[in-house]
Amino acid sequence: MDFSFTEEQTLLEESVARFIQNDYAFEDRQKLVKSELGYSAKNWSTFAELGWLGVCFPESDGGFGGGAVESMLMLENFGRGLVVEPYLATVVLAGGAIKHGGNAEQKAKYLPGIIDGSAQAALAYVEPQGRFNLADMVTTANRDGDGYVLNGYKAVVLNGPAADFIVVSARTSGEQRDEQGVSLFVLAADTQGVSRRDYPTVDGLRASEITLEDVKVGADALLGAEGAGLAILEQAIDDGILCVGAEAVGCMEVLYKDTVEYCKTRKQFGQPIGKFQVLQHRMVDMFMEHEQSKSLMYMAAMRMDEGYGAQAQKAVSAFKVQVGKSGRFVGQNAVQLHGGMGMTDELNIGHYFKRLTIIDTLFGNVDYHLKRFGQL
Amino acid sequence: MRRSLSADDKGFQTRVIAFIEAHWLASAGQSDTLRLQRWQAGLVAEGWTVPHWPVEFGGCGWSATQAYLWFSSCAQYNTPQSARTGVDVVGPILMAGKHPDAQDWLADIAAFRSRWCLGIAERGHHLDVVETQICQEDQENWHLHGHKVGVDIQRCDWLCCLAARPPAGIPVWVAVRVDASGVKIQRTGTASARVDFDKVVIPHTHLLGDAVGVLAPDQLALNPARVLYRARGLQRQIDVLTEIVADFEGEEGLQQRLLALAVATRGLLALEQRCVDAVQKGVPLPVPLAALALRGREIFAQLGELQMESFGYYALPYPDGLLTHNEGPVAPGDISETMVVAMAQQAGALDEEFMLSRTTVRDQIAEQLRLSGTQDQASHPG
Repeated sequence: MDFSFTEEQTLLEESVARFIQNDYAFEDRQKLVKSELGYSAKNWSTFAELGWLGVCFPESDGGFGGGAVESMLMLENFGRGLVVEPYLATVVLAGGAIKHGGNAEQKAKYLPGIIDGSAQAALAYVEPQGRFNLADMVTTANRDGDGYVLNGYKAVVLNGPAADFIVVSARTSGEQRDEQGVSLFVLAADTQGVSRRDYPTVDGLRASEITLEDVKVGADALLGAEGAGLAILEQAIDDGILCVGAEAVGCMEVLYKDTVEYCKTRKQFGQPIGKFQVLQHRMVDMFMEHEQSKSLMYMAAMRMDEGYGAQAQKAVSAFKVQVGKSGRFVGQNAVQLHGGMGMTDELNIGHYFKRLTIIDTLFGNVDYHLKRFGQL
Repeated sequence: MRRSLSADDKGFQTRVIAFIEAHWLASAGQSDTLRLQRWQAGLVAEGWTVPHWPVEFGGCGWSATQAYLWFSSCAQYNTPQSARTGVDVVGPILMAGKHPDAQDWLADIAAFRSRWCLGIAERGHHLDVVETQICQEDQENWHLHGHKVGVDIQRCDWLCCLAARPPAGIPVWVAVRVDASGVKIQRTGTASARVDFDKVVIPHTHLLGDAVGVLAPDQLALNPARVLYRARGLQRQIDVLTEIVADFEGEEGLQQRLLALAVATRGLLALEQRCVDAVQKGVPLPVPLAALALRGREIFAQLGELQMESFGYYALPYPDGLLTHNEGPVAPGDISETMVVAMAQQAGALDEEFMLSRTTVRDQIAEQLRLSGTQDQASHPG
């Protein structure tokens, strides 16, 4: 057992932490949230220049050969800064699906753009009726000569508004919830028949509802083998869970620390409220929830780096369960201990809580992952 | 970061598992007394009775990882936790003091020749109030007056008793022979007793040390050996219970809560491993030791609730005949070993609560994290 980081990992962690501390003030972030694009193109270029967009891609694909631990370190810091740049959607989800399922041509076509920051991407896999079941889909992809015709509807496609290309899941065979018959396709966002309705999410990000109407794609759009896309999708989503979970751990740390600082300075009855035992005990529990989540994050990252399989999936689900519970607890108590101002837009507390609330639901809530944990 | 062990540690782990198989698992099915004797004899022969003590007192000089492998494996395979009071409470008291007979007593504890129990709680008093008094009679002897409740006195030779020394009332640890004149034992339950002291003569050499600072009950309760290696044992109990409730119909809520507890226990295990790694590297722990104690205690309390729910109404009174006459929703043949574990753990938890309540643990963590606003230091050890 060794929980220390390599020199390269430490340098990466310090680099991201420095950026968040020096160049990502909460006020600036709020301006980005209200901007038309929803994030900073300049920041995105900086991410590319610093090599962050290629960290988790293999060297053979032009990346830096990092793994789950590197992603975890970056995203934990992104969580501390409530970063709105679409790293998760572009690099982890869409990029991850191509990394796990794409052939050499597809990787050569799409990954360089992601790594150098010139391309934005999204993964369209959620359907309204499916809740968290990745196999539950009615979007179809029917054979049409050498290619396919896609029809259906995808919900809450993160980074949909900015995406240059989209990875879409669709059913090429089987019934609505069959695990076999799910295929993945990668297509340009402006392909004829693709229409979007864009909107901001409650945590300050951007998403789209995407309708696919007789969208024609070639056979070269298929990621992996026909009907075997669920495994690729699962792996990309599990990468995503680790990343948003790490973000949540970063969020919780900020909430805990800010709450402690606030309780040390806010006075009631002539003394800091942090002297009251009942509030101290709440902060102790916040601290414990954060540390427990962090511990499971380390375990999940190490399991993922050991190789993707049932044990890694189980570790990821355990982490997601913990993050869901802990995030809610830490967020609620941070708001409670700050009093009314914890709910205001001006203070960062409520924004972290919103992000934690979204993360709880993203990729499956506590109940869903508890069940998955038990089944694996 | 890596979860795997070094080659040396892997070799050590293999040795530990082989030992447990030979001296514990191999005797499954035999009588409890025989199994305990075999286990203890094996420990003595191997020199592993008090591995975490300093080498000069019989310890093994193991690394933090080796100690973790040993203790967590013992918890995982449910080996006897015999002589814990002597090893984890009395031992440190004797080592810290300058008692002339310390070496002999420690050797007796390490060889299972003497068995100790604790006397801390008193009826009608909060844990931090000690009314049992030790008064000096002459140059050589002192007199002990008062009582203790909740004493797990079964098969013990010695009682390590908390008493107040007038006039200041400083709490002090006192060694009392359970068969000494003036000691009256009244059993109040299967595993606990009330012990009254009526002018019990205590030689001055049996005053072990002032129960303050590192020897205060709450500090002794935070002995790493008591709090750092709990998760594997909890996991095992959860696994057993999960198997039992798997076939229960209409109990999805219970099964769901067990799963949630399994996740929480994984978190504790990971936290333990982070702490062990920190000890191994000689860097500060990521969390105060008290935090591990708190989490372990909370998980254990939830496990107890789930065990009682799972065992049905027969679990509640814990009657002596329960193990052989359980007619609850679980077949007696399936349940008995688990029930024994549960009951023994309840007694162990009670022992811990006597020394350190969960409220006190939270106070300690708050103090170590400096949450009160009276200090300027960092509020997060990480």
